[in-house]
Amino acid sequence: MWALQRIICAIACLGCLLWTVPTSVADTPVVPEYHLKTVFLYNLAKFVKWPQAAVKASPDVLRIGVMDGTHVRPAFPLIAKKRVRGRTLELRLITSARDADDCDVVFLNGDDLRLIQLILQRVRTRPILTVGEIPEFTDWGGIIRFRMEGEHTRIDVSLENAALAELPLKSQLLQLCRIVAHTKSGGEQE
Amino acid sequence: MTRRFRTSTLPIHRRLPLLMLLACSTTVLVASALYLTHDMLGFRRHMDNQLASIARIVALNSTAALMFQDRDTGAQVLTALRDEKGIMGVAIYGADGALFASFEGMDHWQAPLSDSGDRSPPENLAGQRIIKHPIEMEGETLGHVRICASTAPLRSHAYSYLHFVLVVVLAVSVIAFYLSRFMLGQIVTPLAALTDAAKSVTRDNDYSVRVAATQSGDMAEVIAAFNAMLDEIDTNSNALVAHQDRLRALSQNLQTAEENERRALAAALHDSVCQTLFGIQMELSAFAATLDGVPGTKASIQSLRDHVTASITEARSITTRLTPSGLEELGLMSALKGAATDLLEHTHIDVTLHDNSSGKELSAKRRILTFRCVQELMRNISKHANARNVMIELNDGEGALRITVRDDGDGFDPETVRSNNRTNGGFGLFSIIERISFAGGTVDLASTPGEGAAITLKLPFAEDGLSQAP
Repeated sequence: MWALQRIICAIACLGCLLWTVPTSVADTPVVPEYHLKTVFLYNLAKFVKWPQAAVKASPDVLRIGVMDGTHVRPAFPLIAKKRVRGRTLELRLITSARDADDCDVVFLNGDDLRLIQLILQRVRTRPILTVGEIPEFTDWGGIIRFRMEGEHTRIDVSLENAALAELPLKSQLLQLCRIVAHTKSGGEQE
Repeated sequence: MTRRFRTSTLPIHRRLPLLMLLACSTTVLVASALYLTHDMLGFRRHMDNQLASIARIVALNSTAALMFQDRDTGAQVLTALRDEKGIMGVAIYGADGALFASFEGMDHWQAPLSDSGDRSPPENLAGQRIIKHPIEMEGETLGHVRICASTAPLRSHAYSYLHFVLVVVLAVSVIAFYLSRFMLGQIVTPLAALTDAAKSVTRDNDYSVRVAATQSGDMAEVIAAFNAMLDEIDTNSNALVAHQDRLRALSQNLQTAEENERRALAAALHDSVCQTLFGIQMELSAFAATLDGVPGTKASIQSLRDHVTASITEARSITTRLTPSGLEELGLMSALKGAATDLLEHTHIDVTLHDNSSGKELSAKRRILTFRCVQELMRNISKHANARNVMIELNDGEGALRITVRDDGDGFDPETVRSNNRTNGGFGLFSIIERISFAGGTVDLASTPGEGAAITLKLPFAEDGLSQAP
């Protein structure tokens, strides 16, 4: 009888233990991917040496354009009150290539590869920071690409495209980034 | 039992180098302590500045890593400091105080950083110097850098400096010691010569000693002044001695004249008055014989004869007092007996004489001098000593006659007499000492207050130059 009680107790303790461990892991705050990426957009804007012309054109507002606002818009309040060199942030939805003209940062997420290509071709030589997720992004003329490495979001940067857009990036940012070069085949090379 | 060390007890040639050594060492030590304090504060300030610089660099380099939550890059930034000397640990904390990246082995810094301001002053903790610096971007605090450095370099710096100071103090002490000995020789040598000269003057009463002036300057002036002082003292001393000699000679002459006068007066009394009175007495005897049988005359004549006899006795007594009877013919002992009898008659002090001498007599002058001195002593005893018994003892030997006058009176302090204190009747003894000394003799005073006195006069039989003084 006593032995049975002991076994039940042991099983109960083990159960409690097993229940507690995942609970602890679950308690660890996991930031949703697009929340993180939205904050990263703001951070990236800080590590860009914006040209005077771009600042003069819009001295008070820094516009961030997104193709797919489904995930970014809920996260935008996180950075809505932030400022980049005194400029408040403003979120815009990009539905056409022309919409990107007034933006300082464009986040080309979403599945519409054709639009992505169009926008990149349009703003390639303008001081607009282009950020994307697709593997061909920098080859198509994009400057920064978010790359997932396990659970971590990593950053690829094309210095050639940044130079073409006359957007110098701060060296501190480059410490974190993987600098990629274009390949003729359309792939990328570290 | 502990003995206190006092530099004042040391001779000057040791004291001066020691004082100089102490002064130099103390000065160097104090200066070194002040410099060390200043140096250590400066070194610590430099260390803090260095830590602050490192913290600023780390903060700048870790800004992006912190903003993009790239812990690997943050750790890489810190890894660069792994080889930095003295850095024990570096950690980056997020804005919420949670640890973002750190050195390996700094697990005890896992705890969230306490909120003690963005820039807290460096703190000391068990041999560690800890500094906290904010990571900022466009005025926004993203987190903090915390650096812990060992204070071992600070201690090592202090120890090395202390060793250096020790060596310097030792070297300075040795140099100061030898330099002071070398330089102070110029002061100490003349001082030692002055000291020796002063001791010689004190010990031997030799005022002819002079200190040789071997250099110029202050010490030469001191030596010159000292020599001038000795010159002055020597001159005054010689003059004083000469004056004393003249006074003694004058005194001697006065005594001789007095003795001669007394002798002349005694002779006149004896040859004139006494003879006349004796003649009157004879005449009265003859006259009484012629008036034999006349009633009433016998008693009157007898009364006259008694008066004459008394006058003869008085005249003889005066004669004896003026010139001690038998001093020249029968010698000193006989004269002293007469004086003793006279003292007994007038004061009832019992005088005992003991002649243990060989019978050798002093010269006539010295006999008189000796007799007068003993007479003076007896007079002093009768006046001041309250004595009942006096014993006079004569001895000779070693070419001198010794007369000791001993009494059982009140006694006195011999030092008072020797120091020429002539109050309370001390002049008599002083006079005796002076007269005997002038005659080449000595006077020994032995007495204790309340226990009587014994005064011994010692006069050589042989005459010397002093006793022949005019």
